[in-house]
Amino acid sequence: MVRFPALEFIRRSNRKTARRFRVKQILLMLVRSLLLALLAFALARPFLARDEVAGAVAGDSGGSTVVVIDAGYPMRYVLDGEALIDRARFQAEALLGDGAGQAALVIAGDRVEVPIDELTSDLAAVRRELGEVSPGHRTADLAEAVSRAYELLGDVPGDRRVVVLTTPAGAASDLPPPTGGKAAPQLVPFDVSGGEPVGNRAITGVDLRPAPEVGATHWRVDARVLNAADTPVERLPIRLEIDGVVKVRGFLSLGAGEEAVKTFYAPVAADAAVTAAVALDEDALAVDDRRPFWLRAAPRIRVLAVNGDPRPTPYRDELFYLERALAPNTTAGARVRLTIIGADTLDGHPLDDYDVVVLANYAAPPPPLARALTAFVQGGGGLLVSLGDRVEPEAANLALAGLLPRTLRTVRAAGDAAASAEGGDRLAARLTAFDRRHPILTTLPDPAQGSLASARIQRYMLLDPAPDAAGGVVIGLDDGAPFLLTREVGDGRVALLTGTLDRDWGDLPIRPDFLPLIQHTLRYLTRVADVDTAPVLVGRDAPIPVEEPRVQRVQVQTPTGDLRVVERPREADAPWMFSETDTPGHYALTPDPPLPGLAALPGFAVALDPAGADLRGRRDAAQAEAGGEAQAALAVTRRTELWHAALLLLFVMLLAEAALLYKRRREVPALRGRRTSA
Amino acid sequence: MAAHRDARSDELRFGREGQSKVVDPDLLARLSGLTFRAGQVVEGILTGLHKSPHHGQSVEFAQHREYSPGDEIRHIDWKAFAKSDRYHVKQYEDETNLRTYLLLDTSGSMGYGGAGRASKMLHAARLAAALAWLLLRQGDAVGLSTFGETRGEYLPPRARPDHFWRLVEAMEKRPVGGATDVVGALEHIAEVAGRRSLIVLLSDCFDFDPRLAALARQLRRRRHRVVVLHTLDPDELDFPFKELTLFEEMESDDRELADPRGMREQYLEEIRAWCDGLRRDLLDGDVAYRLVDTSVPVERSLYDLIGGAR
Repeated sequence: MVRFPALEFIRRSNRKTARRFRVKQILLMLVRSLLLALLAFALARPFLARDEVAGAVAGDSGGSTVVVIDAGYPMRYVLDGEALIDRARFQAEALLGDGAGQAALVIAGDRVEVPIDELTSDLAAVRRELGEVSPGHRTADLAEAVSRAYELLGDVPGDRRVVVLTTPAGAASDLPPPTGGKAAPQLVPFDVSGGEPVGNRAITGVDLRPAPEVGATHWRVDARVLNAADTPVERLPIRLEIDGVVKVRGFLSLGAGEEAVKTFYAPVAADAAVTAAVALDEDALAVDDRRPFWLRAAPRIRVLAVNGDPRPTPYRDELFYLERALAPNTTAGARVRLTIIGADTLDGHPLDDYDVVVLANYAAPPPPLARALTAFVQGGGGLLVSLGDRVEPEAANLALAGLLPRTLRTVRAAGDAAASAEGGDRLAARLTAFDRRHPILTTLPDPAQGSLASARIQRYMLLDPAPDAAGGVVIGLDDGAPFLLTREVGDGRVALLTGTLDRDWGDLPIRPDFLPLIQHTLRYLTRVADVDTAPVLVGRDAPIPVEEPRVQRVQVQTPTGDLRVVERPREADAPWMFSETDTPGHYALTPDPPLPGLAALPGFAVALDPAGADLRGRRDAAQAEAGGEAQAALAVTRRTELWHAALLLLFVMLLAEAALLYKRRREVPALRGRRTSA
Repeated sequence: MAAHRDARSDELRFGREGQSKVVDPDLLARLSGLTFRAGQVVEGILTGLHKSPHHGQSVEFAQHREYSPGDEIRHIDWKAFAKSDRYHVKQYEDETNLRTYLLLDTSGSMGYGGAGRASKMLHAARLAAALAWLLLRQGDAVGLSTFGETRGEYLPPRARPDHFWRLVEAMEKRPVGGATDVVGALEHIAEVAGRRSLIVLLSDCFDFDPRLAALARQLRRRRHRVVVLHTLDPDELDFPFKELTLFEEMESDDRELADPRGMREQYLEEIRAWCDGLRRDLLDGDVAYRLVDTSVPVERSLYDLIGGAR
């Protein structure tokens, strides 16, 4: 407490300050209340709808309308902060109005649904059904939906029958025209985007293949990216995620409407299966900015190599280079377990333990062995036949008649008398003809520019020309003779190399590209390259990739966490499929019941149909014109968004609050030291 | 006249110097060396008062006039008679003693003094004493009236040098307390001041009586010269408090809780408006007004007051 003489002034100041403070507090409270109200107002995304709603059903027209609402995944597109599906719902509700007509609803979502079987005058019920519409994960089958709408209107009398389709402009193409001549219903497509640009970027596909050229356990991931917009995009970030962790990042520049491929390389641990995805930064349609898939280590290839010409000197041995090429320490794309046996021990050797059999400079298999080999190949095995001096063409042709792509004729040596007439004076032939589309060569960088083209082949086996022969030439020599051929026999495949696997007939084995050539050839023969872990599309049946015969039942965990149990089909040949693929993402598999040593199984992935990624208008002119006239006749309700203004007002209120809180320092003239008159 | 004043001032004694809070011997010593300037003081404040309109007994020769029956014979100038053989009477310009009334407010509010400063009452008393000392040295008569809620001691004006100590004693023994009644004090002076006088009021004027200015003007109309020395402490002028404080009135038991940070500006505006209003009202009535800040030394206030500031 302070004893102070000028208490009267304190009292007066207190009174005035309290009065001013109270006014200020009231103002501040009002401003803050308004702030909160505006915030809630803005979050509610309010809008003004014009009153001149004259829907097809509204008024005294008494018309019949079927509203077809697109509920495909493109309707998840967010435009001006609002999903297209919400716009479509609003437009449909506005079209229904409060009139006295009849209406029905067709929902084109993951499936075409007609919630109310017939036209009804209970518009409130239709409106309720509209409120339940939510977008799915497929592209809507609008053609079927519109057909269903025509069917609903088919028997209804009246001169005003309208099918209203609310969909992005890009989806309203290829619709069935109304039938019935003059009395045909009118199709009115409503562009829910209202003509605004609906640019979208999406990953439309993923191609997976092993990448032995990079590493033993590496995979090459080719992601196709579409810029479905009218403007180009520079340095679009894209990333590869494995097990939820970003492993590789990159950028991609795309022109307007352009689709390009971005390639990633990523290793996968041996004997493992991991979830992976290629993803973009989220845009207005986020659901297609990510494409899931699985990566799993290539299965081990069991190779039985029959050495037809063993030598004591290692580098002169027939299989010396093959063994080095398949050595586990080399950069093999597929892990290979190589077993080498002599020619005399082949007969009676169990072939079922192997995926590929290599006959290297093997004279000719005896008939029982030939039969066993034929059965082996037809059952899905692979056979690689390389030639040499020990091979007896006639006996081999006889024994392997059903397996060889073509029959062997004779050995040709470059520069010898027989060849000089055709081959001139050249000493060695060269590999010049490459079938780049063949799976063996697709992953090799241009072989014509690589070391394969520089290989010199001094001798090779000529084959009988056979226009109708099975299979095709993968690599040819410069004189037109085939060098590497393949053929499919039953479920298996056969490759024939008209040269040797050692250096007796040429220097191909010492060329660097010999290694990937052999690797890819063996993988081709075992169909490893066919192992596809790319995603299936939403709604399609997904194969359950479980080869372990002990597993008779698996538990499938969907991306939403739901669990489903699927049993292996009883028929041995029937594919084991999973059909409830309505949600994109990774589907994980576990054996049911659990098996020892088999905790987890590789799963499968489900991705969106890229057909819906492009939302831009593709309607033909006539349809657009017809739709425009009809829209004009129906007087579409336009919305005026209010939340922008609310946010602006919110900002102004914030400034007002700051101004109220700002304490201005008033200058009060000093009394002290002032001279006064006397 | 200077010699006369010096003779009067020499009669002032400082028999009790060092025993008084009111009297500062050093200050008085400094003032004693300023005789001439002290005369200017009188003229500075009291222009027109020192000069008397009456001619008669005085020491300053004005003129001669012929003797007429009824004149005092002692005023006949015999030297002039010897020269002219005619009777002439000397006529002098009368220089009267100035009567000064010091009105000292001793109410409770005058007891306030900020940290390290003298109270307003003490400061006003020192100023009054210095002024009294100056005037007495010039031969002027000085009176004193102390007042609070009720009238205190009244000492009629005297020109004797030892009257100074009675004034000082009266100021020192007057207790501080009670409410302020400036108007009452002025009314009393109006009754007792018979002829033109100098009335010096030393008060904080915290009775807020609207009749103050009217009464001062009334005194002025009676040809008194009125000077209001509005004595305030710097705390009252600057309001330097910071924390939430419970303030208690010094002349009553009233209390007021206030947050100085929120209302200081308003307080300053209020007191400034009040001081300006008081000053304006007094000046309109030809009443001198001077704000006396108790943080300013008495000597400086005195020089400032008499217009002889260094």
